[in-house]
Amino acid sequence: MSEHALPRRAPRPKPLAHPNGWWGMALFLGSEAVLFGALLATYYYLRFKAVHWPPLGTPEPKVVLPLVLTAILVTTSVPMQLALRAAQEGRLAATRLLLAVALAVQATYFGLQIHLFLGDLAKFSPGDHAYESIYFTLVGAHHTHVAVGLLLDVWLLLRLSTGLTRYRLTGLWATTFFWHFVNGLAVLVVLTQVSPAL
Amino acid sequence: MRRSELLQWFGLLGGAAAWTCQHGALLFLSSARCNPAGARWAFGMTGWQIGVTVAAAAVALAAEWAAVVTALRTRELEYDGPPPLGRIHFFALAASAGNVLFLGAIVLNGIGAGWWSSCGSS
Repeated sequence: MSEHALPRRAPRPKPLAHPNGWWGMALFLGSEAVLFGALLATYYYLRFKAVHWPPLGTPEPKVVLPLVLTAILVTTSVPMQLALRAAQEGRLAATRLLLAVALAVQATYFGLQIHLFLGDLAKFSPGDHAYESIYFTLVGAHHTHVAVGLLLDVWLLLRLSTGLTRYRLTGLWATTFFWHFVNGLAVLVVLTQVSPAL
Repeated sequence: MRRSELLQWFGLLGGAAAWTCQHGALLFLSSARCNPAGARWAFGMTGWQIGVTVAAAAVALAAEWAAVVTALRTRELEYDGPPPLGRIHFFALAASAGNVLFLGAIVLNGIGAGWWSSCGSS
């Protein structure tokens, strides 16, 4: 793909059609939705078959901190969308700033969630019971997606350090779509995760 | 143009839709056969299983044909070309790979439904 430099203050183009990079992300996220649908269905299938959920001896999941962290993560959809709008209008500095803000919040979320994840691993193991297996699989799968999103953010920031091109704009468009998906998924995952304690 | 787009969307979604319908139909049939409420119907699971699987595989193969035909018709374009023709070519390439996977999933689904038809898996 050619990298035509965009003017720094181009008028915002009328949105006609999504680029193929966005459609590629849509196909990818469709398959991811099936994956998480299967994981969530597995969780509830196991839950409704179990007498005790979580099993006796396994602590109930924390509620407040995961919910607060998820709420914070969901707010990053706003700077991501604003960064995309700024890029479409050719405002490179604003794009970088908004992307950096989103990255900082997302990285903080990720660091705290990994801390909680490791704390849970110290208390119970994925091999102990079906609850622990699906708990770590579901939460770990979501954390992996957050990590992928962080890598995309870093890659975009590095690419944007040398200017804005159509290729990079498409990359930002697809990455923003990815984050909206991951943030929406975070709500479903965290509600499922904390549901035994509600 | 209109016909090409229809062919492209069928190629993209046909295999996935066939797999989804087959999965739902076999789940429904297995549940009906293995639960007391449906046991009185006493239908032959194997015949339904083969019929549903063959129908789904036929749709997936037709979708693969549509995707390949569309990809060949637009082969002079780049995969990242401007829409709508660039998008049609891009989707046709993606679908020609995806439908092969869906066909494999349909065959395995059909075999799996037969494997568990002894009603012991729920």
